Amino acid sequence: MRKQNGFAALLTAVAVMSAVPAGMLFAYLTDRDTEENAVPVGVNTSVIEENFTNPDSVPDTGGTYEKEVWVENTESVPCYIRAAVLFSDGDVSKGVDVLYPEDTGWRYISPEEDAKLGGYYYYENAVAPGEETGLLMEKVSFSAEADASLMAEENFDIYIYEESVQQGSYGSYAEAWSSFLRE
Amino acid sequence: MRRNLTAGFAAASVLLCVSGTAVYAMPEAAVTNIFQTGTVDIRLEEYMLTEDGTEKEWEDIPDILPGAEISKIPRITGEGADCYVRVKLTFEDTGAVTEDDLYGMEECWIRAQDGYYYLRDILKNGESVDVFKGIFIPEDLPQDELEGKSFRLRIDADAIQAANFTPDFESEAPWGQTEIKESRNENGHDITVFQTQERTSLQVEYQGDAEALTADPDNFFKNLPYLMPGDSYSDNAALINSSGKEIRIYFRNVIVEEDDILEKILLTIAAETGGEELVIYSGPLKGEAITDNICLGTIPAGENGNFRFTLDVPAELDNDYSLLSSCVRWIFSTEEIPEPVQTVKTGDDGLSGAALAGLVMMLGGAVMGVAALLQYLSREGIGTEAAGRRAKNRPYGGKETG
Repeated sequence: MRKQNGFAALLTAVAVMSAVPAGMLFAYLTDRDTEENAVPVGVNTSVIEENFTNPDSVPDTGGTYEKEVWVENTESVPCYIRAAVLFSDGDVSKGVDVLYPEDTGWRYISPEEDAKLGGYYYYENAVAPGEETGLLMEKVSFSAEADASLMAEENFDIYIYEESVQQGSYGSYAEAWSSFLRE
Repeated sequence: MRRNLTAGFAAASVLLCVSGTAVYAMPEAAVTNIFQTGTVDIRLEEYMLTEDGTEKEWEDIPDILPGAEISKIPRITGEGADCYVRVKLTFEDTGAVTEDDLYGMEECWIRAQDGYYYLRDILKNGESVDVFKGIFIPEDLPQDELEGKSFRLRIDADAIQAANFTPDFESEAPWGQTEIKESRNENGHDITVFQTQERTSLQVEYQGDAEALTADPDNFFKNLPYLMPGDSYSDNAALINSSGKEIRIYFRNVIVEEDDILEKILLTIAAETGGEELVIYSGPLKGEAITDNICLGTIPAGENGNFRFTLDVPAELDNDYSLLSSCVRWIFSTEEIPEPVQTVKTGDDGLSGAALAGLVMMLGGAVMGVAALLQYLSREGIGTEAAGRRAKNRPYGGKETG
């Protein structure tokens, strides 16, 4: 009889143990697995390249100097590029012509044409990492009919300003720049 | 005549003594019971969708950009016992990308206050579940902080046995304080081997004509699934007396393995004979205390009894006891009960009925031997007055002359 009571107690203990709620200190069988990923963020960097030799002085009217300018994508993601050409002296620009070659991939959009995008030269195709644009400009010439007084300054500067934006999923330069400028 | 009687007593004495010893040579049947403990094993892998929607294994992306949508599918597969799973997602070296940027996480995942995502459903052996489908990289990812750098996404997947465990999904920590360890059996196991199919009946049968005892099958743990912590499993074997005589049936354990698991799992044996069930044993499965024959009871001719055993696996067993295999061997033996039926107290760990019968027979043989000796002495007249007169008349070494 004692053996039967002992057995009943064992069964009770088993029943209690089988209905263990979470939080009690029992061991259980477990496993763990891990995956770890490094997610590199892309870099978008472009630089202006030029082929130009500064003259010693402002040339006589009618002179022409070679000034080749282009942009290179130096980093890791394809990007769209635009550029603006500015003069240090607005009066000088009236007597100076910049020769923008045709069919090199650049397109100028005037402010009148598009208020948001206007004022820049846009390279129409995305530039892959390590690749370069076509020539933005090729030569600088001085107008023979320019007023000499405009050349009174000994020096002036031509500024080339460029920007780039990741190509990402954008299908065109206009779409990419419109989205970027929207932000 | 007296010589023949003496020889008869002597022969009977020898026969009874020999017969008393022969009671221990009983018909036997052995079963070797093999069992295995289970294991919890999951596999975490990552996949991605190509541009045409085809799934392939994950490949590291060389660069991610603000506003990008990255296809990334972490998938958990159950390769061991049925289990509950949870995951923890950690973004390191960035505060710009968070769990909120993940997409495609099904509603079966719930986020608890302890930071884990818990799967409500049990993940069965062979089933898989995806954690999420991808990541949206924020458009305002800070270029100054992250450009040219990497941030990390770590996915920790945990699993715990579903047997005998119930998560509390309403609490802050549904799994409580359970320590999660890696399975020590990551490869090369097939837990489905111990998935039971149809149940096999167990029986021990005495066939009187052949005086043979058989056990079928030869492994009484055949119906056992893999054992998990907290499991309690019982099974029954019919004790069948197919003979025309009442039998006494015995049981003993033979230790064949010294595995530690045999000390952990508890065994309870109960036998029912003649309508009465008694617990025969309760202790470690190793059964060191039941290596001598124990009488399970008597079974009348043509009737059956029942042998029931229960295995209890302690809930505190951990991964150290996963996927272990061991065995125990049980020996059943029997003897026919000669008439008149002697009642023997069953479950008596002292002198068994067979041993008592043998002792009685040996004593009977001894009595017969003494009777033969007295008969001889009487014939020779040794120790009597007539024997003394005959010795006086017999010359030394000569024959009796009187």
